[in-house]
Amino acid sequence: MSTENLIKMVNQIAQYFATEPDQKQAVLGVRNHLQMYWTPGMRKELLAWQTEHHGADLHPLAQEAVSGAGWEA
Amino acid sequence: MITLFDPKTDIDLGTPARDSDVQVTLNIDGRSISVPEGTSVMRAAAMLGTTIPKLCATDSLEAFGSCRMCLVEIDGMRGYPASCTTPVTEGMTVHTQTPKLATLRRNVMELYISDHPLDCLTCSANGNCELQTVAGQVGLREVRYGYEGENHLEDVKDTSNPYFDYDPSKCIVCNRCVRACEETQGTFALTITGRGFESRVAAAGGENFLDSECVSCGACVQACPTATLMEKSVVEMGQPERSVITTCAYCGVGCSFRAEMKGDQLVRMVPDKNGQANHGHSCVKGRFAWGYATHPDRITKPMIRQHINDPWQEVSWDEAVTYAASEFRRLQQKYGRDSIGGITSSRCTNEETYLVQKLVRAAFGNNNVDTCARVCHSPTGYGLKQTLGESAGTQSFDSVMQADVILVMGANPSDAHPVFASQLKRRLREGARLIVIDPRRIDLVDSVHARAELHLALRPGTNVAMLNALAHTIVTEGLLNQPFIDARCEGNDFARWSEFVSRAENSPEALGPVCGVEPADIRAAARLYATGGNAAIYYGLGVTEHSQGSTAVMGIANLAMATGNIGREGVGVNPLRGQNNVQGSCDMGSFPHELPGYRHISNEVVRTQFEQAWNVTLQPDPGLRIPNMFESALAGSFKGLYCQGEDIAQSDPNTQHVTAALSAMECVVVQDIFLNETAKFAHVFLPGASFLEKDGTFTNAERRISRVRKVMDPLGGKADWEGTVALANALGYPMNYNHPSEIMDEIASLTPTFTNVSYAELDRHGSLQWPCNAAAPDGTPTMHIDEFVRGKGRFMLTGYVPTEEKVNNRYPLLLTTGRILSQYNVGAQTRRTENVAWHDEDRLEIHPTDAESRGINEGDWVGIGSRAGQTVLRARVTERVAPGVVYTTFHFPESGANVITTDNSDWATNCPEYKVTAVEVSRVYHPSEWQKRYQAFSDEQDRLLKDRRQARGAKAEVRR
Repeated sequence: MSTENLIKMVNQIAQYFATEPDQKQAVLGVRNHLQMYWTPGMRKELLAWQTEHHGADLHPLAQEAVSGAGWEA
Repeated sequence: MITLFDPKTDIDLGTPARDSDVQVTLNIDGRSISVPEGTSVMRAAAMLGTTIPKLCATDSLEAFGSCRMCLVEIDGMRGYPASCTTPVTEGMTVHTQTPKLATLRRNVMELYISDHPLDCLTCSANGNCELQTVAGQVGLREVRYGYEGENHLEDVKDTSNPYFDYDPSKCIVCNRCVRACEETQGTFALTITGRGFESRVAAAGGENFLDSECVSCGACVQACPTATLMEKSVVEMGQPERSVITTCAYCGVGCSFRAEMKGDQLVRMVPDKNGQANHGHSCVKGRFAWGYATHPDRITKPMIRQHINDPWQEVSWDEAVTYAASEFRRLQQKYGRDSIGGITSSRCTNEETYLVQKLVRAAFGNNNVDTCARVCHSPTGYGLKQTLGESAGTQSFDSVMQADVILVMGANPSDAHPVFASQLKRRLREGARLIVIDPRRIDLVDSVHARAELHLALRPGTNVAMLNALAHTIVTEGLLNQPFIDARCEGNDFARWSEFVSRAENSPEALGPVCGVEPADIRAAARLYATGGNAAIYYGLGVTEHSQGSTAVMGIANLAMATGNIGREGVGVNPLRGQNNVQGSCDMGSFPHELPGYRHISNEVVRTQFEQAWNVTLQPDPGLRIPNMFESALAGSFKGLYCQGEDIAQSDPNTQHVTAALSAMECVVVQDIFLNETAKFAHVFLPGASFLEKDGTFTNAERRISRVRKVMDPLGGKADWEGTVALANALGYPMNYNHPSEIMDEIASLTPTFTNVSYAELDRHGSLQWPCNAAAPDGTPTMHIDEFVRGKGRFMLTGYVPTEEKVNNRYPLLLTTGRILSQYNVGAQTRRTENVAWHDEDRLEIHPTDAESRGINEGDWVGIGSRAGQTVLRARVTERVAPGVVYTTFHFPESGANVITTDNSDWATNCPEYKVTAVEVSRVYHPSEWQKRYQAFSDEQDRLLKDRRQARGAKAEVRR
């Protein structure tokens, strides 16, 4: 799948949760959303991209959500 | 309100029912009856089985009292009152048949017949003419005036409407058509012109019916007691001999119809007065536009081909599904289990969508199943689940009759949900107040006797800003329903939301300029919604098809909870569903992340139930959504698709992206009634069945499950569910259903909200609104009455995030898209009917200011370019759109409306942002490059279809 599109999608999700005042909740919101609605393949692809590019184009909430999720397996 | 279905009530009781707690007892011809106060003498008599002759009365219309046939004698009353306009009183004694009444009625009848053609034997109404019947009832034997006097027998017939004729020579000026146009439809297009002998029916605003303001709903035809207004199909074929009750396959209103048949030929569709969604009304599509079902373009034989540039080869069903199955298995072996998927259709039945998702999950072994609701109401599913706990509208359509304030947002009911619009307009005429939030001046804004008090013509893409500004006003001006919130909603979530919307950045003064709407108007709308009594919100794709579609749905639910406008009749959150079975296809587990009944696939308990019932192991993670499938196809990992009844190549955004994805797949299986745009990219074509050719159920926008009943055999040999069964069996996953009722039984056994649904119960009730289970055996017209489905309602934060699709110097206008009354979505059905008489091409609506600055005149060809592509349409210069906004419909594939739309989508659901595309418009003289390529490809595909090879018993040659 196009990484560019995955980044666009995850950033949109992060922008929605950015309204949440509690940062922890916001990160959890993004992570849960990806787990509920994205295929494992899409999540892994995004994680691989982030690992390689250190999340350059990712919204900070998205970066945090992706890194601590344990999707490596 | 639950109304039980009684098929025996299909007789005309003369005047409408009255609702009253007070019962009045009277005596009619020596028999006693008690009826609700306000009932007419005519209706009371009819309820006793007594026939009083009548011509101008019918129970779908208020009494008029003009024909003088229904006269009765009442003890203690002078003269001969008309029974239709005389209400019953306690102890009244009525005589319906006396020598004097007989003479009076016969004399009146004589006058009617002296100016009526005596061609009964050759008349199209013969066998179903009320004038003829009443002439018989009153015993008319002679016409003393003769027939040579002044008459209307030479009046010229108006045959301009493609579906019905108007023959003024047969008109008895009973006014039923005029009243039907007013009361039933609410268009007020018909009138009686002239006085006395000159009185004739006329359609306003044109030379004839077709040119006039008539919307061809057919209510006048149904109301006409003679052959004055008559369906052309009846003129051609004669009176029908039997009828079958079924459900319309067009919009999400889900009107009930009597399909009136002659053998296996459909003669006409007549809206069923017992229909609980439509109460005997219909629109031009449902009543008249069914000719597509037997159109010569129907493809009735399965076909296969190896490449999309090969000619098609006709094969048997067996060969077609065997080939499709072998291809799917080959692809899975080569590219992996997840390399294929399926799409269910909102145009197919619940049973069919259930089977397709079952096939994908059980036989393909993955969760790559999605449905066309992805591109329309997926944000409704998400937003309402998050806030209220269930992915569905909260009310019945009838609930609108209890509403005091109606807020219509991003919906155009008079074009897209016309039968509901008629009901809504009736309520407005009774005094309800209307707020419209829409970039366009839709018909409802200033319809006859029903104007919007406020029209907030916001800039496309600013719905969430608008909803936040409305919420801000409600919270900061103290208009909250605090007792409701305290009792029914999560306190913490409310507090967070309340703090958020109260911020100055969310005030109408801050957001009004963003929306392009006066802050004072936003405040006025908020005050009216919060304090005007029962307030109901109706919304459509103008809310959902945005990058913040889900946020806007949650914003709407927030407003309803904040003002306590939920959980009873007259209020609620009501998504107007685009297609007939959008609700149903979502209910049936068509989304990749959830099983039937909106239960997440990761829920082990639920998954285990399905695993046991289906005898398979299910994957616990969500599969690909439609746009993900396209992306994966372009990346080379998604190779095969089973697409039932959806035309993704025309309806999905960024057409060139979609067609590239389809071209990258190795096996596309399309099941449809026509060789649609998607089928031009297919390798296997399975002939679909129209709604007339199968049994099943549709679920409309009010969660109403209604039966679809087969009236003719499938032209392609199999109903769609039978095609899926054949494919599953060919894949080695056995499915054994003899009838769709068995599929519904399986659905009911696995879905808690459907537990009590069965074909037997549907026959008994007429229709059922889910949840329908032990707790609600008769169904649930209104949801969330005592508590929300999720327990406590949850206010969600709705920060406004402007869309990335922005205007700039290169693309200075915003394009938004929508539907028109006479056409339906991709137009595959309606384009193949006479509805093209009203709309034979898509036009670009542009404001006079924008047109003038570009040198564009009405009817000019204009090029529309966006970041995604270019197309060419003819211009319609109109003030219906605001300056800076252009609008088009998407009913014709060659228009390429979706060549321009981008693949921007809703953050939560990937529902495409059809409603906001930055474009530039300029005058041009040639079709766009895309249109030239489209035409060449389409012509080639037509040739490959025409040159298709017949099987002739030989084995198919297509093998890899």
